[in-house]
Amino acid sequence: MRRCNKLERYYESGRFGESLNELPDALKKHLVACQACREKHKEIIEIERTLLQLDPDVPGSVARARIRMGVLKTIDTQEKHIGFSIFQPLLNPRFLSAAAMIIATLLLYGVYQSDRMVTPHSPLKSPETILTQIDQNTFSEMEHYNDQLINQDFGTLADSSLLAYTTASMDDEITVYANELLLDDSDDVYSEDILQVVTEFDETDWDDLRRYLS
Amino acid sequence: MIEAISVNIPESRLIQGAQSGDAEAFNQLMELHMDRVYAIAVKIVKDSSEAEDVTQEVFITVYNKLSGFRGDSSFSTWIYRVTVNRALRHLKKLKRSKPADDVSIFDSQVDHRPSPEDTAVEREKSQLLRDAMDRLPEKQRTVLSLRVEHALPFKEIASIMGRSVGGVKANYFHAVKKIQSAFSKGVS
Repeated sequence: MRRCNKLERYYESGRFGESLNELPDALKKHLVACQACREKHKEIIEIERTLLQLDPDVPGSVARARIRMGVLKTIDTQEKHIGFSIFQPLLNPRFLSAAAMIIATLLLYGVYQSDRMVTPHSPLKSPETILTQIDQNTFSEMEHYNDQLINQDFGTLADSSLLAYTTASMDDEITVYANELLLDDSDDVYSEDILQVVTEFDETDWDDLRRYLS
Repeated sequence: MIEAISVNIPESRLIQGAQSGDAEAFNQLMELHMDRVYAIAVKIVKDSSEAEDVTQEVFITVYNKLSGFRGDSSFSTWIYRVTVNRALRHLKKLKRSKPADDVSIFDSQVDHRPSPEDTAVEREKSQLLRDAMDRLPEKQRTVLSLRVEHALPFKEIASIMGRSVGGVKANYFHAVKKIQSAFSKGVS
């Protein structure tokens, strides 16, 4: 039987629908003519069908009770120590780190130095400066995204976050913005935001990063 | 498949209630999502006791951050994203603290309970598939679990994992391919 990778290449491109059985007409025609791809398709579809019948592992009643008790106990202890207040998010270390970074950036660009308004397109920091500000913890968290970093595939996720750092001129704007970040990316927002910053890097920075991650 | 939640009170009302400090509303939210949070966690950390810890951490995080939740994404996407992040972080810690040799012992600790109607053959088949799934790299394992066990669409999986839809689909294909290969070896 002749070897053929056409079906596999299509799957690897990630262009199929919600199932591996959703193929474009051209590929369906190819399957009719190509025995290798036809057999591969049959095997893959069969295994996918079986996988779709699997049930997830769920906790038993004792485990559920243990989880519930653990959560409630922690929350109770937490509230006794801190108390719930609208300022609680401000105590979050990620918020504090983000705020420190925002303030440092604002100071760096001298937005507090004069009465003039900050222009909406203040210049961004150089990639070299950003790179030196990324600390060890951030690098550790970035390892989750190693593939995207190496492939520079994260660019599509870039948004105006860095712009916001450089244009926010009032404390409450900064607070609102930081809260949005905390919400959007749950507990990993800080690192992802940094990743967005990283999309601004030039080739030298990527080389540094690759060297670090390797 | 874990069905999403059937209670009398709509989830949005429970979220609002929990946000305004209603402990019972938070309890109900926890009940609604516990199975799926645990199921995702156990697939990633591959240990039932560690998955319990991750599940607890997830709900504590949710409790602490719920006041800021404004529904930009769906609540379930948000909570599953927290779950994946927490579980991956937990797994990283475990890998640091456990020597590599212990990993295989560790793998066998998940209690995969087949449904009662499974025949012996089906049970064996399911077990082979689950064993093969457990041996996949974490990203592929997570994508595959979210797609096949939790029936989440690729777009939502991509959102949960903070990745592109195409990348997630490619991961899915590679996972299915590896399982197929492992499965055919196991059967033969």
